[in-house]
Amino acid sequence: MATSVVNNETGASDPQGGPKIVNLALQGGGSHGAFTWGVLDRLLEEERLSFEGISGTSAGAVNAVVLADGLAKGGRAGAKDVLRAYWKKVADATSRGFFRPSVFDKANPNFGLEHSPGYLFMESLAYYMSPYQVNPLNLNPLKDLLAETIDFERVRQQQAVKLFICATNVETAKVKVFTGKELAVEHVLASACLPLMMHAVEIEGQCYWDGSFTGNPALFPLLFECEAPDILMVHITPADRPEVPKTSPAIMNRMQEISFNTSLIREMRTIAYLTRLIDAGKADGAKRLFIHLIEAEDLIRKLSWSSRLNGDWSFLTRLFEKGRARADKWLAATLDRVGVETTVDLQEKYF
Amino acid sequence: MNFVEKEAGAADSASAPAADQKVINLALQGGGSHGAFTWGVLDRLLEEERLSFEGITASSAGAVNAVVLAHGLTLGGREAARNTLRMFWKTFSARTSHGVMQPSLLDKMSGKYGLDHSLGYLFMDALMYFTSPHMYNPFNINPLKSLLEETVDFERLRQQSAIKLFLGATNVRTGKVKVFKSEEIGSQQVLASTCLPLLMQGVEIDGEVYWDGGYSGNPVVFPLVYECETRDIVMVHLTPAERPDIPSTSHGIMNRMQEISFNASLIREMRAVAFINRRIVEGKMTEGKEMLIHVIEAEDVIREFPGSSRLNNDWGFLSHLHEVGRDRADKWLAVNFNRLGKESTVDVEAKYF
Repeated sequence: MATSVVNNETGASDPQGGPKIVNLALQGGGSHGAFTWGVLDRLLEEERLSFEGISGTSAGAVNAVVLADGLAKGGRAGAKDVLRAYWKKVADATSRGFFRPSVFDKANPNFGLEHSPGYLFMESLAYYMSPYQVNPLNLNPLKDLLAETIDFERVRQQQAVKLFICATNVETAKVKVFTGKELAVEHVLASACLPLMMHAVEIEGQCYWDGSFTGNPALFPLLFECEAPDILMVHITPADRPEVPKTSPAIMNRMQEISFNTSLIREMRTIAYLTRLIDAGKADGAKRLFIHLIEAEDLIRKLSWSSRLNGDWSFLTRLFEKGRARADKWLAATLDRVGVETTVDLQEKYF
Repeated sequence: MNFVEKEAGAADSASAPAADQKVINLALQGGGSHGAFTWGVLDRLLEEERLSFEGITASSAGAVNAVVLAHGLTLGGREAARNTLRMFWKTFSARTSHGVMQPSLLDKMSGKYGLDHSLGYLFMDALMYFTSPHMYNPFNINPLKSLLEETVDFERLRQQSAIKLFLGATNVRTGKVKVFKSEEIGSQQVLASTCLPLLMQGVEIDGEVYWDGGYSGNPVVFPLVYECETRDIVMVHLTPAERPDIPSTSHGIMNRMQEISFNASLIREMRAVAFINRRIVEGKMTEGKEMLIHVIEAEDVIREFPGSSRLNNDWGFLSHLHEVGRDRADKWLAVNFNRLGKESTVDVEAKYF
């Protein structure tokens, strides 16, 4: 049923084998978002599990909005269909576009675009010419793709999930969270706006860039505005990378990865601190959160940085399958612990 | 010899030795040459006999100021600290501004202190997108290292620092912040905190490689909460959070991306501080302390300088920033000194939410 995905009145999960409700936190990562699509696809099949809120940034915001639209359109099956349709369109647009992988890239086990003439051209161009010079008309293929796939009116009306879409206010450097009732294509574009590739997105006189700079994604909306105490993180920006980068592109990639995890790490540390106080009986009335994690760090680390722009269908479906497999394992091992305890070692992961 | 009296450091200001004696913590941001503003602030605060420091958390240029200050205090108190800071900045300018990075005549005429017309800067700027410091500076020559080692007696600092130092660096492997404390600080730890990875090679310490602390905390606030007694934190801001003009050139965009990244963790941490403060005030938390936040800043001045001015070590520029810093600290003292230990003097929610 369209509006009954969350049907538990208290908003909390049943600790005994009954229905389980989680909030989702979806990171950005361009094409790597296909991993998240796979995770969602598998979670949607699990009838015992439903979602209350979703906080998403960049590719995570796209997945969140597509999911919500699909749920409203046709329940769990509808959501699975619309997600697949969206990612298929990404692949179709790529096969016609500038960033299509060359035969050399297709032979490359790290799925990079280092041999794609379009990618190489853009990459060197970006250091000298901004998108305001390269693309003065601000043509944005993602905009058309979103507008074709998503019925934003339905997204604004739907009550199946609470949506929180994160973007970065360029003027103030602060995170901005857009919520369900106000969502239009601009908000999703703002959340996914990489500033060396696209113009900043203007909404009501304010300019926005990718939310990853300030919240990838922000967790506080799930704490303050949702009932369910469980947060399931889908982590696709590698925090750990054992080798130290020594070339300029690798250094710049790592600088961005670190920046794109920093607010999340800080927010998780605050959650860990509050949790300690709550468990010690020293913080009245605060909500005790349970944190869970599905991650792809080990997979993503092996991929080239430029593979975030690789929309080739075989690559996307490969990530999708990995996402499904990880979610499947997570459900088997962890679903019964939802609503009961945190299943990730916060100290180990974020300190 | 001891700068912070034992009693003052161990209790809140109400029970400090003299009624009008105040103890604060400092949080110093990074910003390359703009750190001369912070030097000016410290210079003025050191003149204020009623004020002393318990802890300093700092990243990058803030870390340099922090160790030079702490070292100066071990030599002979406030006056020695002021002299050491001045000598450090003066020598730093003399040794670095005659090199390839000096401002050209056009830069000097523009009045904005950028290096956008400096041949050396333009060359470096173009170079670093194609070759990394591992290639163009394979011997890893860093003028800051020798100057730090000549100026600061790190052995003495580790033994005798009257101030608790917390220097932030970013662990490249994990992306997490690493905080180096007084008793473990040497020149390598300061360099790690200041390591901009496109300009210098990562700094290796005990098998881990570090980059500038700005990526993961600029600076981190939590050590002041957990490890210091005094509740007052004076933030010295260098990285402009607000910038009304939306950048549209590649340089402008990259500069703003870095400014935003370098503010992200501080903003998130201040939000946590505000959240916890509110719960404490409402009586909903029986552990933890309400932190009192103060800010000395020059965003309005620093915003006007281009990103390249962070590498401008010209003495004229540095002394200008020093004067601005002194002036801002002077005004801040006049307005806020009496409120220390009692309340936050900045609206934390308005500033960081």
